[in-house]
Amino acid sequence: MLTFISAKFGQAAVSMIGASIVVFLLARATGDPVTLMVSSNASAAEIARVRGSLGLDRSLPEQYLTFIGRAIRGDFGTSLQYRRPAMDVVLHGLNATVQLAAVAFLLTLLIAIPAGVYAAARRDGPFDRVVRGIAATTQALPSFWVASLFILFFSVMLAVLPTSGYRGPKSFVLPVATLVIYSLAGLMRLTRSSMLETLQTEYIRFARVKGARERSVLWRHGFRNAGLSVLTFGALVLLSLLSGSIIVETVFAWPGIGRAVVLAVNHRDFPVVQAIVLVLSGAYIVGNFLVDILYAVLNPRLRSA
Amino acid sequence: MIADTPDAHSTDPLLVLEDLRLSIDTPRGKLSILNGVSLSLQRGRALGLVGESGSGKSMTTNAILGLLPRGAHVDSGRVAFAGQDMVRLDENAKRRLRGDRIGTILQDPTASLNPAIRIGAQVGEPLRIHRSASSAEATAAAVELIGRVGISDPRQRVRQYPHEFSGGMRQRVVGAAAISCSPELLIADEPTTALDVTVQARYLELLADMQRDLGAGLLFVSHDLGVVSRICDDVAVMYAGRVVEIAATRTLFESARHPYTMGLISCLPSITEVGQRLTPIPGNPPDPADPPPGCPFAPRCPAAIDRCRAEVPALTAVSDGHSVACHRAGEAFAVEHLWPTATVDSAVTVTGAAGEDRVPTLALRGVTKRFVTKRNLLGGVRESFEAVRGVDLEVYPGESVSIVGESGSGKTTCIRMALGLEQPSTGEVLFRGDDMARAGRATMRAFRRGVQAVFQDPFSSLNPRMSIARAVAEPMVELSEGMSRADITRRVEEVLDLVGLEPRRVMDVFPHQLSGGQRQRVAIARALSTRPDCLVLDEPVSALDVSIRVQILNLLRDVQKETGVGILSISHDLGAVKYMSDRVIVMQKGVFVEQGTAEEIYQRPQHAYTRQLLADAVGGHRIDGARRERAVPLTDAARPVPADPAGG
Amino acid sequence: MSTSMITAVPELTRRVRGRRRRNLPVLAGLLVLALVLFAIVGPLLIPYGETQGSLSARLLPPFGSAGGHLHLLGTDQLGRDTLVRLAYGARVSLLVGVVGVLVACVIGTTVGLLAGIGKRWVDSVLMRGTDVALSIPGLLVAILLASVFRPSLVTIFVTVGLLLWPTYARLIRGEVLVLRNADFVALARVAGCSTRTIVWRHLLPNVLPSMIVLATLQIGVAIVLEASISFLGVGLPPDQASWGSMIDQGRPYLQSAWWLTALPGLFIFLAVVSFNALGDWARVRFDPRLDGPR
Repeated sequence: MLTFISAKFGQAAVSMIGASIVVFLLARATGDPVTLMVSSNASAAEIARVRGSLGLDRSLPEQYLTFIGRAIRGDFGTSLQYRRPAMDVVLHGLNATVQLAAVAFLLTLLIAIPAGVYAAARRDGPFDRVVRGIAATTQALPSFWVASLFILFFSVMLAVLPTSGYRGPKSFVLPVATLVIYSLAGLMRLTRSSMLETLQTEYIRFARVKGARERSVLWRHGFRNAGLSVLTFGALVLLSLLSGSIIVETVFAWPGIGRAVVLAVNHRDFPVVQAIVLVLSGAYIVGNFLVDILYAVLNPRLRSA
Repeated sequence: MIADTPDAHSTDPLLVLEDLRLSIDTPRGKLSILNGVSLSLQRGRALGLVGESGSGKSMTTNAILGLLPRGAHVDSGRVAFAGQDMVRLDENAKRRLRGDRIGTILQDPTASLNPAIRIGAQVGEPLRIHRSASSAEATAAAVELIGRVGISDPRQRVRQYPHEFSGGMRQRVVGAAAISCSPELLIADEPTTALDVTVQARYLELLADMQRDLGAGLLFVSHDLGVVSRICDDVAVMYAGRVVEIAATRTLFESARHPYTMGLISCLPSITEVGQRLTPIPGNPPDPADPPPGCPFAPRCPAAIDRCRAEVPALTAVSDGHSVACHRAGEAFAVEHLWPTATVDSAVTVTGAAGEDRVPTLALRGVTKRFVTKRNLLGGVRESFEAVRGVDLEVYPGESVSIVGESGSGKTTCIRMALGLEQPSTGEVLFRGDDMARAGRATMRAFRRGVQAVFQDPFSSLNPRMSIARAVAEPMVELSEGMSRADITRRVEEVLDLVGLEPRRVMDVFPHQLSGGQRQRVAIARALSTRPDCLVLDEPVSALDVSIRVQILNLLRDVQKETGVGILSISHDLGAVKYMSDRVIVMQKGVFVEQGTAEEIYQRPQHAYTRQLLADAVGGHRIDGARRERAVPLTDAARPVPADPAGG
Repeated sequence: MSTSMITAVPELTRRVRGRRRRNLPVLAGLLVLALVLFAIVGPLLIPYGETQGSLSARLLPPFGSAGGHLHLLGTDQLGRDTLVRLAYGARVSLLVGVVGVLVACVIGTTVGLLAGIGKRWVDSVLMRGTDVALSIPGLLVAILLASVFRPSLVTIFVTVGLLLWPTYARLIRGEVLVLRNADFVALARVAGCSTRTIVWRHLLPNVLPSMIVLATLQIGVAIVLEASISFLGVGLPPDQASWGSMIDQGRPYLQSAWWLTALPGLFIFLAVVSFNALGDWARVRFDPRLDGPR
């Protein structure tokens, strides 16, 4: 078990380093922020001075090492837009995004898992067809379109909900609804197909042969096993909610990191861009690592390995 | 936990099936799976239900349990358990019977147990469901039950998970769960098919004990007449969805009346007789979508008359307890008359005394193979085990050698090394005297031309996307020198003909359009295409139906006679090995424990393990006489978990 | 000897339901065909240009006309005809869908194959690369790339390809790892095949069905991806029609001219649903299990 954990940790570490390099290069490649910061008729010396003060005149590998060194300590530099530590901007945005993502995630789980399980249990029955229809439909709906239509209906026509902003519980409704629609299909489908596969196994047949009640067969025997892959996927869903919020935050002007990163790119605010992307990648990699560990803990076969 | 005691004075049969008919809806229309199954089982007796794949025996079990797959429904007939009609019962009532008054053991012990739930919970589950036992009571009962089925240290093992048990142990656990509520009826659906020979023998004894202790009726479903005859009082033979004959075991073997039954019995290679050539049942079982008119066996029956092809025979009694569904049941045929067994010179070409100055085609010298099971962080070795230990083997031109062993013995690893698919850790693999480790390109090609293989599973041996012609031609395409395309095509036709397939019909067809037996023939044809000196066979017939096995075994013998090719095969089936080998090697836990000619090994076995194997071997071969006496068990009854990644 | 054996299909559909089942992919196929035709022929038949707009004809509702010109689906805020822009948008979406997925397929299959057949360390390295690629949020990458390279159709192809290849790689790798141990692969070695021959003759053809199925399903993802990029303003230039940018530009006019936002989205929806339906049909049709025993 310990070997397993260390191996996974090693893999995660390598992935993190790889991600940081990619992030660093990408951020640099988006363009030169200096030109945005100085007036159009600045002299060459002026430009060079600004560049020097930002540390942009040193070689790339040097810049990378500095970047990494500071990043580990949580220092991503100062935001070029707001003149505040980049990390502050990130944390501020994270706060709003995480709230949104958490609510959406919980709702998605509550709807998708039972739906998937019962759809699999009564395969090809009316409930299954409805579930599959919902999955097919929601998967094809672009989130920005859904968001716009929601705004049209509820904010403009019916005027019951706010069009945008982060202000009190009512402002959560539309963004959460959009996010739920966005992530529902995948989890429903995966739960359903995972359950279907599990229900074909011999041990399910054996449970039935012992006279177990259908509910017990479904949940105690079936989901116990299918749940493992649902769990893994669920983690991915949560992580994708964090990053998929870009569109939703743009449409609803939600002050989360999705919106922050778009603004940062437009303003060529390296430090913030780097910080956000690295945080998101890191979350994904760490998340996967934790899921792998959890999976091993829950899977008896791996536990004793 | 005592079950409601059945009426001890009741002489009513425990289980009765009356003309059960069942069909399944498929996109291709309605398929008749059961066409009138009738049988009856008395309390305290054991009935074997024997049939090949497609006979409907598994579906019969499903019907009794009331667990039909989607789209399957009973068209007519009765399934009466202790007087209740199972077909008309509602789902909940059926569910209450399952696990309580009817205990079931399924085929694959690895698949039957839920990998995520502890053994104790799974064994105690029926008690919790049907007897409202608390968790503690169920666990206590589970400890007692698994101890009763022969698992040592039950208090400790009850908390373990299935993967910590070996195959045989798992099946015992399954048995424990089946008897937990003291059922009146025990159904065992191919319970020993997935088990090794010696494990199987022990398990059959256990099953007989369990039945006796409970006073229950046992319905034992299998494809193997030999296994069934070991513990069953009566046997029912199924073919194409019907019971075609039912009789007491001894009666069946001594005076079977149905030609199919007789055919089945006679195509089981005996391990006591020498030099026989069995007549296989020709053809294939009927296609359920396109059944022949009249008796379903008529197309393959040597005794068929016009009436057979027009009218379906009914199951009628010929004497007390013996019923047959055959128009000609009244005429008592001699088995020999219908399915003659010819006596032939045993052995094709034998070398007699070893080697002398002849060079063996294939040889293994001092070969060891070590597998790594655990590595540390830096890739170094932490744990390993030896699958093959210091083995010496020679196959001379024209002779047929078999390695016999159970799973975990290392026989598969041996032939993989002989084929160059694995490299030995120590020792040498020699082809015509050349060390293959140092072989240059030309030698390698000669080796591949000279040594070809046929594997066990006909369904994964052929690339599903390649036509038969391309598949058979591939070795030639890769290895031959100077054969033109026309030459290759000609050889493909030649070799398909050699294995009994019509080239025109089969060349442009894809594997999924052929049956298992046909695919295996294709695999043999392909292996013969380069005119190899030696054929390496990995359990070539174990995955095939009984009636097809002899067809393929005969084919191999004929091919050997005609082409003089040598054969190295591995098997766990002693009957098949005896049938086609000159020399036999017995392998256990990576070591060759005994080697000799077929006659020596079978008539005068020296090593204790060999003797145990022979004593335990019941599956698949002719029973000479009544039920066997209980054999002496091996000392290490609790086997360790097999760790051989190559699967032995 | 009969050569047509039944493949025992445990699934069932009653005859009637079966017929209805078969209609869904047909409908989807027809929709896709209609879309393709619309994309190719639409701009030729409709008498308006993509960027041609007159301010006197702005924000006309469907079937509205100004100055004697009928606009079947109305006009946008610059007076450009909606219908023709939808057709041009269809071109973009379909092209991106197909080409982007093709790029992803080629890259992903190569990576997956190499990882599946290679040594443990090769597999490890490639999988870490895939993990990294998956960890960076897709839209972000698109946004970042868009600010580096001026967006054109080609850069969008590449972007979509870069975002979708990891899914392929993982799938192909998984399948190859299983196939590697199949009997017929071992027998191919025994027959003298080199690794290269085995890959081309035995592995790829058996991996092909999954590739096709995944590709069909990915087209929908690619279309939505392109639309999202354009919506955020980092896709094609705003005057060029893309369903995504049309939605974005229609947003300020939600109240007055809601069709500007609704229609392009509807087209996206229909396109994605159709491709997904085709993909589902393909998944069932090419199910390798049906090549099994009778």
